[in-house]
Amino acid sequence: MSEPIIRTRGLSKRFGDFTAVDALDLAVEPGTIFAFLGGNGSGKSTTIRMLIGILEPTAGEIRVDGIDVVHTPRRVRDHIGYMGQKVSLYQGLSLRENVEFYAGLFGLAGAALERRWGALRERFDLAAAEGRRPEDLAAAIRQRAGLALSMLHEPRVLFLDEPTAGVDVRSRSLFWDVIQEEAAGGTTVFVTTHFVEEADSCDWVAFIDAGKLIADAPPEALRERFSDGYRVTVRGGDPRAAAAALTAAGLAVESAPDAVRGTAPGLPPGALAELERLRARQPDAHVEVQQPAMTDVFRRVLTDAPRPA
Amino acid sequence: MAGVGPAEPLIRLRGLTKRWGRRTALAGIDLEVAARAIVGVVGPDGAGKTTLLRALAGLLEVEATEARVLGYDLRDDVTALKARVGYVPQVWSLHRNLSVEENLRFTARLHRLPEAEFRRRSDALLERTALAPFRDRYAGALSGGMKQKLAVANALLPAPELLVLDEPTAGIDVVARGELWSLLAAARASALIVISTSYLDEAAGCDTLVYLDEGRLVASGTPDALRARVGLECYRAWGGAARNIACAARGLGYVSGARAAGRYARVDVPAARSPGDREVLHDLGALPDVRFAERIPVDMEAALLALSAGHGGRAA
Amino acid sequence: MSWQRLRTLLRREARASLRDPFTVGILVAVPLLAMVLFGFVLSTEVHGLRLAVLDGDASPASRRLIGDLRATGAFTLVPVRSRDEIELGLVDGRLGGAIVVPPGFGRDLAEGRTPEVNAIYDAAEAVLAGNAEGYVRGVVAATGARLAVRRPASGGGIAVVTSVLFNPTLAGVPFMVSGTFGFVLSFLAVLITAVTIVNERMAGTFEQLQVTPATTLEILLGKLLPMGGVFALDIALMMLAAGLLLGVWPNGSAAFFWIVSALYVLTTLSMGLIFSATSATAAEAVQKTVIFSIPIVQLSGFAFPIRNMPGWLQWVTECFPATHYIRISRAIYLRGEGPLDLWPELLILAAFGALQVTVALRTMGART
Repeated sequence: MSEPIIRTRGLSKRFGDFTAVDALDLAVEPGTIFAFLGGNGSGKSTTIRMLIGILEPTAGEIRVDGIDVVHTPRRVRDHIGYMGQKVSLYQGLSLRENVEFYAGLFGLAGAALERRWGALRERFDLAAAEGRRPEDLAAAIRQRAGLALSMLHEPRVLFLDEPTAGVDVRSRSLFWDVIQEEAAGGTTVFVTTHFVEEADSCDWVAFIDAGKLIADAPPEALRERFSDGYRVTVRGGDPRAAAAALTAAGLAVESAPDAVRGTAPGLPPGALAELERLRARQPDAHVEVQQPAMTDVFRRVLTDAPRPA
Repeated sequence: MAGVGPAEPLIRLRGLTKRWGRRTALAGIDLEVAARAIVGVVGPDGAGKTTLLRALAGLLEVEATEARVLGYDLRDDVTALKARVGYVPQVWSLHRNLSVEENLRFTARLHRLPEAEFRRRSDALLERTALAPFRDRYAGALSGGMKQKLAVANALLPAPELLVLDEPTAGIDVVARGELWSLLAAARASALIVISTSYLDEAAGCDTLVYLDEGRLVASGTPDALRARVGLECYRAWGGAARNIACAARGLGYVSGARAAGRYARVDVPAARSPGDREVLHDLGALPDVRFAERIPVDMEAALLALSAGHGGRAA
Repeated sequence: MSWQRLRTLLRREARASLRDPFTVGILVAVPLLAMVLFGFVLSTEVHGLRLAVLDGDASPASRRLIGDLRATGAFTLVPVRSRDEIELGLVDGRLGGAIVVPPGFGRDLAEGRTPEVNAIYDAAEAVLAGNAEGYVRGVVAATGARLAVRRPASGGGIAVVTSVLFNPTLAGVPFMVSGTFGFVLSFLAVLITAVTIVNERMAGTFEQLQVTPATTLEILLGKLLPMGGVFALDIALMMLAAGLLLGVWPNGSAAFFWIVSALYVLTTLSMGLIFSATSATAAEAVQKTVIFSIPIVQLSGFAFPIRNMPGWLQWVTECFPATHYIRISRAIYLRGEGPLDLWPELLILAAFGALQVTVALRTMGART
């Protein structure tokens, strides 16, 4: 059992009377993608700023990659990469010059920089944009550049604050591909977003509302707990064979004139295999799996939790 | 000039263009909206959504072959138009130091609403937005979702014929978003609603969608029409290692895109290249790690993805 | 502290700033403009004041008096023949003042009596009038006569203003020039710096910097040194402008002055950094700068002599680094003093500087 690479205990932040973050306990396993969801004013940004050491907590402890961020924030900087909501590229300098700047601060220069940047440039398709200034680049390219910059010094943990805000659907999708590659390679990714369906691309989800955690579990677990569950609909083919398959899959079956339906809170293990077998035996049957949408899951999470005024 | 004739569309734009110096924010938009509906404007940041919305609200000087909103020409005096438009900008712009009720009364006074009428309308709106218990609270002290509901109620107070909202649900939690949308659905009965959003589920809920990119109108139509239009077949390949599945799926020649989403990989196949869903399902089922493959209806994400890729072929 | 990181920071700052022609223009043009403006136009010297002369005596003595007045070069003399002409001329602005020599002036002087010469001023030309009076007084006194001054209409208030604005040393341009360095370096420098960090914070780049290994000291120096360099250049340019255009060169060592000024500007730039680090918007940073700097400029002896202020206020002015710097600049420019004479003031300035830089480090590094 590995030690969480990010851990907070009783993390709190108060601004005068106002409690922005209230006794947060978080644990993030290495090599996972951790989604931190919440609306504006939920305490999301305050939390991430404390985690990266640029905001001092009122109480609590934070450890990132073994470093005490509360007392020795400077030491964590080499270990983490950060991409803020606002683009951190300097106007008036080309993308390349921005890269050289940030790389220089991490002690990365010369041949080593060329190697590292060359690889990132390739991967993020930034060659055409390299000589141009940020203000002349499209939002999607700036987003990719921001991510590339945060990864320059090969940090073990990436903190990404709403990286998919304001970019088009395609870029969002490509972005998640990259994140998943990084995680597969061992990097831990802590990402905030208010597109709740992006939680499905993550290993773990925490939802913060008015400074408190109201959900902290893998997406599937939340789905099981906070939805009407999965529904499999089989149309056509032999209804009895369908009913039998669904039952074997562990679903509660009900038959209707036009279709056979099976429901369950979560997808039981082996259910998919059963469905595949059904399809093989009944090629005319149309099998459809309805998974509760994350939007609906979180709607229920929020309505079940006490709402502040 | 004065108001819409019986057969005139509510919005009619031909070649609408807006330039700021050398930068072109809108490059010739053609749009026609005949009747009241919820019109969703989608597209990446910088596409011109806000500019289009502001133009419709009569806030900008524009060039166009034709530009009529509610029967008024955008290039002429738009004072009469503005009296009929409710506008909710991207940045919350009500008065923090006035109470909920005071904010509404301020708007009522601007529109010269008689007191009795103001009371009637504001009571109804406060009921519908569940803000009635907070009528004396300072607007600045409301939560994000409530601020937005107030902004919408404020825009609805003068009973506008056109309601323009610029990303009113940005950053708001799921529940509040839903509440805002039911408010809009009710308002549709009496106003044309033009709303920009970056949420795909909201886009799917609009009557008509307009997709903008780089100042151009890439596509428009009902969500169903757009989904049908893209000529795509969407599939889900379920299995444990969704990323690996997506990767393998991309190896199939006819697949245009595949990405992991939790327990399955989404696979898009252009209809023109598809060998038929039975064969696709078979191929997908045969991929390593895939436990079950199914075909699903084209969703908003796939449709918009296909549209953004098709347009200019830009790898965004 | 890492030299490599500092170099990286300096390079970026230099690149970004130099590429912005507007900023460069402002940084160089404004100080030069200030020097020329203050030195030339606002100097409280008397040039060409239109002075009417009513010679009621027409004696050799009176003609000598008038000749002496003309010789000062400060006046344009306008002979008149009646008081009515004087009143009319003052009223419609053709005259800035008038001298009335009474009949019997020459005879009274010769007989050892002290005749009275009347001076009449345009009340609106308070500053000029005050200085003109000095000249006239001097000239008249030299002849042995006495000067009686008559100010029409609103007397009291004007008198107060006159004495406050009055340049007691009558040194005019050199006085303003030596004070202008203080103005530019204490006010303009702070203003320009105040806006930069705030803009960076709003753009998100400052936050990104905070997450890199760059230390607060490095970030501070990365901002101060390039700006300081530009202002050091400005100081040299201002010294040249003052010398070539206004004829004012330092009586003391130019190099010494330049070094002291360059070090001083580093400390005022720190003030600018403090203001921006503690402000959420550029407007707030500017407000803080203005509220802070304007009183200091008024009270530091730049335009208004500290000597003329109430005693308690004079103590307050000692708390401003600008006061000490202006004192030092005047000492070097006007009196030619050197390090040995000025070391107490220099020490005070250095202490202030250390304090400002320390506070800047604290505020910039604060995690709030």
